Amino acid sequence: MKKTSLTAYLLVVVLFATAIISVCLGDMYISLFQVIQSFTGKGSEAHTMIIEMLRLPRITTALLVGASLAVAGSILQGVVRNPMASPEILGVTGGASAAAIAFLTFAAGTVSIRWLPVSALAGAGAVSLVLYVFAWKRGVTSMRLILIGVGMSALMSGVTTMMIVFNPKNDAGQAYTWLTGSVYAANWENVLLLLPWTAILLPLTMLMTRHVNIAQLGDDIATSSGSRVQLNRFILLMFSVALAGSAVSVGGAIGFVGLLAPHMARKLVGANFRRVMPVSALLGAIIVMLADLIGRTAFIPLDVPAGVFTAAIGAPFFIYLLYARRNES
Amino acid sequence: MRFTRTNGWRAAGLAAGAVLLLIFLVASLLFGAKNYTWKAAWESLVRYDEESVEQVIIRTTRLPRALIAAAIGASLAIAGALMQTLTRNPLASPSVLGVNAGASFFVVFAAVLLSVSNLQALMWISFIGAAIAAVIVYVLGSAGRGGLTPLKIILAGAAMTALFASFTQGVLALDKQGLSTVLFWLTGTIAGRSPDMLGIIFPYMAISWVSAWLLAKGLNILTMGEETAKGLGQRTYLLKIAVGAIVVVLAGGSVAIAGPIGFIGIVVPHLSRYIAGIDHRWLIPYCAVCGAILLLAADICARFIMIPEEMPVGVMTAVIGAPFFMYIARRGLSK
Amino acid sequence: MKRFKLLLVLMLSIAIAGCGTTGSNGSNGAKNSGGTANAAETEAPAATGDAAEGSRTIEHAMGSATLEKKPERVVVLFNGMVDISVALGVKPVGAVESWDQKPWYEFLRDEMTGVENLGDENQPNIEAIIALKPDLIIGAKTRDEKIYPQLSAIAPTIITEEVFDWKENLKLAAKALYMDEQADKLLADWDQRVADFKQKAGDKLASTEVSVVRFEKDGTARFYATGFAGTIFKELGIGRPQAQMVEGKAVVNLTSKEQMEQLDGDYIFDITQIKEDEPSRAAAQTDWTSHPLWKNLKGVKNGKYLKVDVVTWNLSAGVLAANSMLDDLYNYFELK
Repeated sequence: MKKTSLTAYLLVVVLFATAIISVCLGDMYISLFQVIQSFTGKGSEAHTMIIEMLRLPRITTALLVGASLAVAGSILQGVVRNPMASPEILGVTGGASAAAIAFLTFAAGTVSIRWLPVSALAGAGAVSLVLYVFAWKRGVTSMRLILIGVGMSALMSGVTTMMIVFNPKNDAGQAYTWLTGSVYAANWENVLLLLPWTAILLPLTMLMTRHVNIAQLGDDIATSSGSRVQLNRFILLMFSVALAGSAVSVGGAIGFVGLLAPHMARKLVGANFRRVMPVSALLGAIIVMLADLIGRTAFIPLDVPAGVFTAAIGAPFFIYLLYARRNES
Repeated sequence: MRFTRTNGWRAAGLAAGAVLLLIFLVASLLFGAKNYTWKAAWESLVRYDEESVEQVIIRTTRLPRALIAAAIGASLAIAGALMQTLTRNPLASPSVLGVNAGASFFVVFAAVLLSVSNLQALMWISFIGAAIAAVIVYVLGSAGRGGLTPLKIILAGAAMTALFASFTQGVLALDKQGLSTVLFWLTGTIAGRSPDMLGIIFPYMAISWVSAWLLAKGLNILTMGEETAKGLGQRTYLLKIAVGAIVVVLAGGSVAIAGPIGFIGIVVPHLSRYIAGIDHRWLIPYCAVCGAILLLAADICARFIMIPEEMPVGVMTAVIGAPFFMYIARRGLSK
Repeated sequence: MKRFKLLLVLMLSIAIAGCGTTGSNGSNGAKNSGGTANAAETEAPAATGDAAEGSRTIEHAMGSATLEKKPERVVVLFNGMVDISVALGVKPVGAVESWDQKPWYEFLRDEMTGVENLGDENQPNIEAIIALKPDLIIGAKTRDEKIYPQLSAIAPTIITEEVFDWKENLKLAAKALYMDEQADKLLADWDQRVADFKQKAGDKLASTEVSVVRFEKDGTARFYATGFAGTIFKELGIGRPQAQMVEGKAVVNLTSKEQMEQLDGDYIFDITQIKEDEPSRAAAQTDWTSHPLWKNLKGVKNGKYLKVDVVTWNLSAGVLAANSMLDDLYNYFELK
């Protein structure tokens, strides 16, 4: 127990440190003192504008996106009882991507771009619904859900690629950036779009901890212990979809956070979901914030999408983790 | 509807399949944005007249395309059948288990960031990518208690596919110009593929086909269960490595020519098993023929859907194959 | 316990957010209205209070912007506007980089010394823009719609409807830069040249079909149905091949050589960028042009397959590029 609290505290510290560093670093270096000046209203106009209009919303978005994806992943891994499950696997991300790319291809220009996150969210929801229906055969088993999810995501991937290739405006750059996952130019509107989902679903998920823990023991044990397996599974999956869908709708298809963060969390604090969930959230937030920080500072004047780094760092790390844990189940 | 599968029937079926294949090959020559006649096709093959636009089109664009479709279709189908046997998983295939994705990423990386354009080099790079992906997925899927379960390996494959896809997107996001180098290739397209590439890769493919067929008996034994096979004196370890190598060459080669084309490896083995049964000595030839036919059919259809442009065949196979995949998944992985 | 920590984190971030939003609004002298609404109704920009000095309110594709006086520090966010600024004799303080010949096209480079490079046209570096303290920002809807709220908080921001519609962009820029006379002169010169061209070319323009093609690194070919070159052809009254008059698409991709005839026209203008370090483009070009079907193309048979400069024919998309392209056309149509 002590270890968990310590870990959590440490992560919160790291989170704040990352946030503070992110505020200071960027195209223009703003020292901590100047940051504080800006907050108290005495900073230079340029600094204040950069911090409040660009960096803070971007950092906050990255934080929320990371936390949401991480928790979505940890729910999935618990419910599916497999450490390799993630929102990308189920096709949720794929559905959001297809909808977003469809929007960019056909509607951008005629419809305000503020509707992009909404369409992405709708795509995620639609795909999840279809997924659930296809997977329903007197109930839904995790296995069937995953398998059909894999099929769905392949389908979505094919459709998305085609829309990119045959874009009548011949402009694949925007689409590819979205697909890689980026929080460039995130504004407060994005934050406000995402915040309700995260703020409501995270605590709700905590309430379902017991059910996730039981689900990890297997369907039979779960049923006999009184847990209403189907219902709980449905609720948890809906939470996962909502978290992942909302995160992806704002941040694009950022990959690996949902896969990696729960893993790292489990390695740090064990398998009890009550501990895993918050720790994953913190880790996810840190990962995305760091990825975005690197993306916008390491290649100036280019702004590399955060998704490149979540993949670049996340993937080898993931392989390492899996190999290291190969003898645990 | 069960009919007795005797060798006689199977042979007849195979012969019928070969005829069907020929028909589809010819159809691929004839149909498209413009339809040509038998006569034109015949003449372009035997009495080639460079002045005739029709004949030039048939001979220089349609013929290589048909041959490539057939070769890749056969290769992917065989690769899928082998993977399904090896992992005892009816949903295994080069696309699902990340082999295609690994090969694609390596090719994209080489072509875009390292500006490799030598065909031979790209082919070997594709092989390497396929091999690495296959090994990782196999190891991840077998790791931990319970060994290689169908679900684990599918998840490992999906994770690896996502990984390589992210990497590929990353490369393209970093080098926006690179997008135009590989854009069409990434969708899985047979149109406009150079026959030179086929020429280079074909020997490897052919050897793989024959090797797969030669290993058929060993594979039959393997399906009885690994313990049983070992008990019967089979050196399963060697067999698995050999099969793995064949899959890598078939999948990697296909990806090198036409980019990642999915679902042929899942759908065709099932179809073939339905017709010919699980004896690999028949299954493999059936897969080859059916795979070739299916991809040819998909490619022909792809010419008509988005006139004047053409839909990439990889998208067609995804749109047809994904529902099939989901249907099988629904039935469950009973093995 | 954990859940409270998480809530704590969230609340803190909201708190920071709260401090943020109250602080930043309306902190500069610029006024912008109608911020993030949909596309504007009118193409033609209107300006009220059109004094040579003094304030102006300018309607643009995403609303309207008010300038107090003639802007001195201008930031331009798309290639076409770089061209136009240089043509008007205005040196921006910051601009997005060119698609090729980075950071600025060679034919513009002399005028662009000391200009800050703001990165890719698709993702300009907003922090750098703030650091430049501009008093005017000119962007394009297709590129900058998403960041318009941020841009308009930095400085009065004008958004054009299209990137390659150079005439409209020139007029709008002229209003914003208080350089109406210069722009009118440029446009008048252009109109005169166009009239001259049409007169010298005579009737054959409408019946001449021109095709604009390009070969890509992955071995595909494409033709341009519209785009920058397309608008100029339209203005000059030059015809396009039937196969290339495709509704709703700017570019059509051809993957198979059997589609070769769609590249045909009386004149075939090739805008492929050949670079020494990118052999695959040259390879694709050779691949298509050495194919037996190629020599059957009308344009090729008539010796009218011409390689032209992609920078002025497609990428730069401004008034200087337009004039340069017209120079080329005078040559190719053997006029003057």
